Amino acid sequence: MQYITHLVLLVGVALLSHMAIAHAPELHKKEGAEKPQCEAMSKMDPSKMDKNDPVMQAMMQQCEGWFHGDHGESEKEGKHPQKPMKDTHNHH
Amino acid sequence: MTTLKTIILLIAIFIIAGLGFIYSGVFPIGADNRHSALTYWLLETTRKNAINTASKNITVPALNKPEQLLSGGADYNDMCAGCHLKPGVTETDMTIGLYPSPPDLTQKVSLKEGELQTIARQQFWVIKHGIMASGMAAFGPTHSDERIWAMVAFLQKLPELTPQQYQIITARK
Repeated sequence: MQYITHLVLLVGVALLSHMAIAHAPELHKKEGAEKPQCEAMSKMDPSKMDKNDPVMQAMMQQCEGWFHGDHGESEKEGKHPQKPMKDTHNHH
Repeated sequence: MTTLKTIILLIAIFIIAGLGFIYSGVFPIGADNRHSALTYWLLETTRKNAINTASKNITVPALNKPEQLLSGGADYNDMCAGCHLKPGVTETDMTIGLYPSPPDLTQKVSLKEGELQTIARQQFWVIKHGIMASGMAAFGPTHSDERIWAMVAFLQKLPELTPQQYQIITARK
């Protein structure tokens, strides 16, 4: 009985060691990987931006911290980035 | 009977000649060689039809979420851009050295109505299963379907991205 238990455990370990398990995105992170260069967004023309565009929404998510002042030197100098989109006014 | 014997003999000669060619090692296997037009047509047609058949029953989910672009974009930048390029980059060592050259996925393609869904199905299948005897790996064993669909969502937006937009979306925070 003990022999069978050991055999089952051995086979189980051997099988698990060969399983290809989907790896987490964090494993792709590299040391010193590029941060999003959100300064580029402040140069974009807000009138040409579609707030419903997933591309724009994705960029806004990436740069959310930057727009709230989390960008180092610029904040110290009192410079605050202008958020390119704000859905509070009806321009029509 | 003589005709049958002749046919059998020809088949045998063909098989022996084929085996002789395979084992001789004279076939130019280098990626810096080029297929003949016939061979290229044969391989390309087989590839396209195989992918089309294998992917035709795949259901395409919604691909318009920003989270998909962030996930798929980061994965694309890490795993795919070296071969399939990114905005502002027109060639790499891989695009020059691989044969056939990997498709440039930053290029806009004019599609007819309904083709977008077909392309999405095929892209999903290729990313998940890869293409044998090519440089295209199968990412299904290491990536969930959800992550692969996120890459497909990103591929659909890639041709319209500027280099700045690409950098922002694909950066891993």
